[in-house]
Amino acid sequence: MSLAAILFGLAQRLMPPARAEWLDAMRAESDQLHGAERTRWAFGSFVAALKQRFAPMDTGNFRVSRWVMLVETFGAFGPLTLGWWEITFGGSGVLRISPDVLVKAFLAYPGGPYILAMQIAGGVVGLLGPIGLFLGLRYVLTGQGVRNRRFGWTLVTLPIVAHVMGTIAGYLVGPPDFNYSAFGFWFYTVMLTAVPVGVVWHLMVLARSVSSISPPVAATA
Amino acid sequence: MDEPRKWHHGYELSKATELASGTLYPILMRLSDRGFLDHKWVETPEAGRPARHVYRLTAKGVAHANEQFDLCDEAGASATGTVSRA
Repeated sequence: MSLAAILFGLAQRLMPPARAEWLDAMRAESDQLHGAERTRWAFGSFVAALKQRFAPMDTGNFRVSRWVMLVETFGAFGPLTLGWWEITFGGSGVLRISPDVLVKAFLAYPGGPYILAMQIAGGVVGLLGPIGLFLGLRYVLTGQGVRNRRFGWTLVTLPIVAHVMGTIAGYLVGPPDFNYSAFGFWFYTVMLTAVPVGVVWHLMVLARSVSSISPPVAATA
Repeated sequence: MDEPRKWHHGYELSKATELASGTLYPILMRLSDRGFLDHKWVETPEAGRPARHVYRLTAKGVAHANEQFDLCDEAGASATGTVSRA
């Protein structure tokens, strides 16, 4: 079986039935072509089918089904909640720091106070994890987004400010080997800040559009 | 736009517009949805070949295209440099 045939097979699975005629048209057109040109044409058919599959999802109003919000909620706030729990209640968590540990593990080393401050800040800002889980699951169960704008913007702004200030402070007063690495970008900036903040913003948008558009799409829809 | 009411094959349009099939066909679909494009199947002269889809602008499509060209002309030289009636 040729690559073009495989691509047309995939396109056929993707193309919405209402658009089937267009895929037939593209396939018929490919019959006039040969070799690499036919494969390129078939790849284009696959891309066109993919676009048609996604087009109905692009409603422009950020409405999502409860199932999508469930995945969003656990994906965005799950890791943050686990991190917050560890940094607060874990073996080396903020609540377990004794005066002895404070002196030996933090204050005795260059940059130690910075690490301590970031751990405490993480314990506070990381509350976004459990709060976000609650808000996301509330939307899943009741369809209620984040209606309180001030509360919502606090949840959006605080982690961003803490992250930016924490990074700058790291260079100024952090340990000598402080370095904002690629890991720092993906883990702290994207996973623990941008993604959770994005979902809070999404919940705010959903609250705004609830009364003007429609109730959340039912799980069976 | 030289012969707006002439029927064209998809491959021919792809060559003329330099658009890949994955870009061209979604555009054709949208034009058709909006009533700007007619399409039909035509038999091919070669035996054993499937019928092919052919396309042409509707009267509404021609009017709309001319309207867009006029807007581009009015927008100045930079716009006319990128969009031409040919």
